[in-house]
Order: sequence, then structure tokens, then C-alpha cells
Amino acid sequence: MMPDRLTHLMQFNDFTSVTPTNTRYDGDHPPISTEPAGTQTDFYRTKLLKEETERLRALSAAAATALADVAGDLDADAAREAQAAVQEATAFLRTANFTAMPWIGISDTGLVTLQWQRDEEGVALFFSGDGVFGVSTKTGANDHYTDYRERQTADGLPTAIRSKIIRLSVTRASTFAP
Amino acid sequence: MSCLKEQTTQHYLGSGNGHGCVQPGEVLVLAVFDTTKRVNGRLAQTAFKGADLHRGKVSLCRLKYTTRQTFDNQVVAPRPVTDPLLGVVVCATDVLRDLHIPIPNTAPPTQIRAACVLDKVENGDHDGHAALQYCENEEQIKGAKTKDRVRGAIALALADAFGDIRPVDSITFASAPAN
Repeated sequence: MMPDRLTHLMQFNDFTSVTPTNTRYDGDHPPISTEPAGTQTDFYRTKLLKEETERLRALSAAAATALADVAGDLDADAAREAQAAVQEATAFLRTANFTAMPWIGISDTGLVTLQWQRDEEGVALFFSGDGVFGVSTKTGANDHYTDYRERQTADGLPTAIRSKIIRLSVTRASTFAP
Repeated sequence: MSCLKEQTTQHYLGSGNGHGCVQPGEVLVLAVFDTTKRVNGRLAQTAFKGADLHRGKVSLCRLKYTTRQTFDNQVVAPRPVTDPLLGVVVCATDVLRDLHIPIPNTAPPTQIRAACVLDKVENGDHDGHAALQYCENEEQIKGAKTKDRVRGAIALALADAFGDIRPVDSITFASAPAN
């Protein structure tokens, strides 16, 4: 793949523009002051915005790394598929608001896989950019993600799957990191 | 074994050559190199390329018929020095053949096998060579995007079935070439 195509692939997923305009946050706690009520609310809103921005930047970086990792394997069609799939997957993740970053894999056909795994439990989501996503889960050592099913992206995650991802994400250090 | 290819030898010299079809109970070894896609000490789903699974180009060693010398000479040595061997993953043939993935939106609900395990030996391969390939009944999947996602699920199931990457010295190869 030519470097300019890779650059193009990575540019579409640039989340730097979501940086909050209110950048007064400089710590974990609001400043002790005599400012009017509401200042502390602003402080926590800013804190959340900052955390959200960092999360999206991390997501953007992980997606860019996954794209770079597979760039040499993608032909022009697969690169377009990957672009659409990454956009769909990242938009889905932004909405889902999970705290732990999944492993992100991009196949030689442009399929995007998001995977959370801890010990012998896991969840994988498959995106190909057409408004439908696949789900597979792992429930034990002898179970190998063989319960595949599909849903419309607009319908979001089933409650049970969402709960499982949150449970897998509780201990950040033990989630399935790259 | 439901696929025809698993029931007849895939040796390039035909029947009567090599070790015959891969039998239930055989242990299969997949070499893991530095360039093999990995995550947390296991194969990543992306370790299995769709094109390779489609053409039956995912190479395995049949442990029963592969000596350490054959493994070193035929599997490791041909790789560039910039892509060293990191270890191996192993899986029983039965486990791989038992992997089934549901096909979405089918009534009645239909499953397909994830992959066939073939005794595929091409000119230049050692006789203990085997290969993974998508099963013939994969053609039941309708829609290119759905097929792509199901193939992603298949690759993940295969990667998970192989389990943890282990040192090559932790497995016991055949003591002598079997006939």
C-alpha cells in the first residue's frame, strides 16, 4: 500500500476535533473556592469531557495502529471496506461508552473485530460497514466463540452482551490488551 | 468428517502416498513466528487470513508424523532470519473439526463447520504436512458482508481453539519419520 493511502485511512478517524473547549480542568478534585454554585458542576463536566476525549484519542490510536498493521495486506477494495468498517465500529464504541479498550483487529478483507477477553471469558464484535454487526462470546475454556449471531448496528448491543463487556472491563489491567 | 476433501487424500501424488487422511485424535501443530499476529500470548483472530483459509494454505504439522528435524528443516529454516520462530500452538484434530458456527438468518437454524483439516501435501512439503481450509458447506452463507463476518467468527474460533503459545521444546515430536 502506498503511504498516502494509509495516511488517508488514518485521517478519517481523527478524533482530535472533539477536544472540549473548556479546558480548565487540572486535577481530580474541584478547586476549593468561594465561586458561585455550579462551578463544581462545571468542573466535573469538564473532567468527564477530558476523560471522554482521552478515551476517544486512545480509540483513534488503536484503530490507526490496527490499520497500519494490516495496510500491506489490503487491496483498494479491502481498504475501502476497512475504512467503512472502522468508522462504524468506532462510532459504535463511542455510543457504547465502555471504559476498557478492546483489542482491535482488521482482516485482509477489511473486516473489523473488537474483542474483550479476560481469562476464559470474552466477547467479540464484527463490523463490515453495512449497518449489521456480528457477536460471538466465549464462556469457558472449552468454548471457542461459536455462538455467532448478527444484529442491526442501530439496535445496539443486547443487554446481556453489554453487561458481559462491562464485567470483563472491571479490572482494566486484565482486559485483552494488544 | 463431513467434507469430501477430508475423506480422500489430498497428497499431490495421490492415494497410497503420504500418511492418508488426518485421523481423529491426531495432534496438530502450528508454528508461530515473529510476524504471526498475536495478542496476550495467543493467536490473534487476524493470524488466519481469509485468502489462506479459502485456498487451504494454513499449514499445520501432524505431530505423529513430524520429527523435530523435519520441523526445523521444513518449517522453520525456509523462513527469513528476520522472522524467527517464537513458539507453537497445538490442537487436537477433533476439536478443530467440532467447531461449528451458526449461519445468521437461516430457518431452520443452520450451522457450518469452521474448517476442514486436510492431509494436504504439495510438491516440496513434508509428508506430515496438513492444512486448514474453509468447509465446502460455507457456500450456504448468503451475502458477501455476512460471509465476511462469519469468516471473521471462524478465524476467531480457530485462534481460540489453539490456545496459548508455548515453547517449541514443550512438545514431543515424532522420534523417527513414520512410514
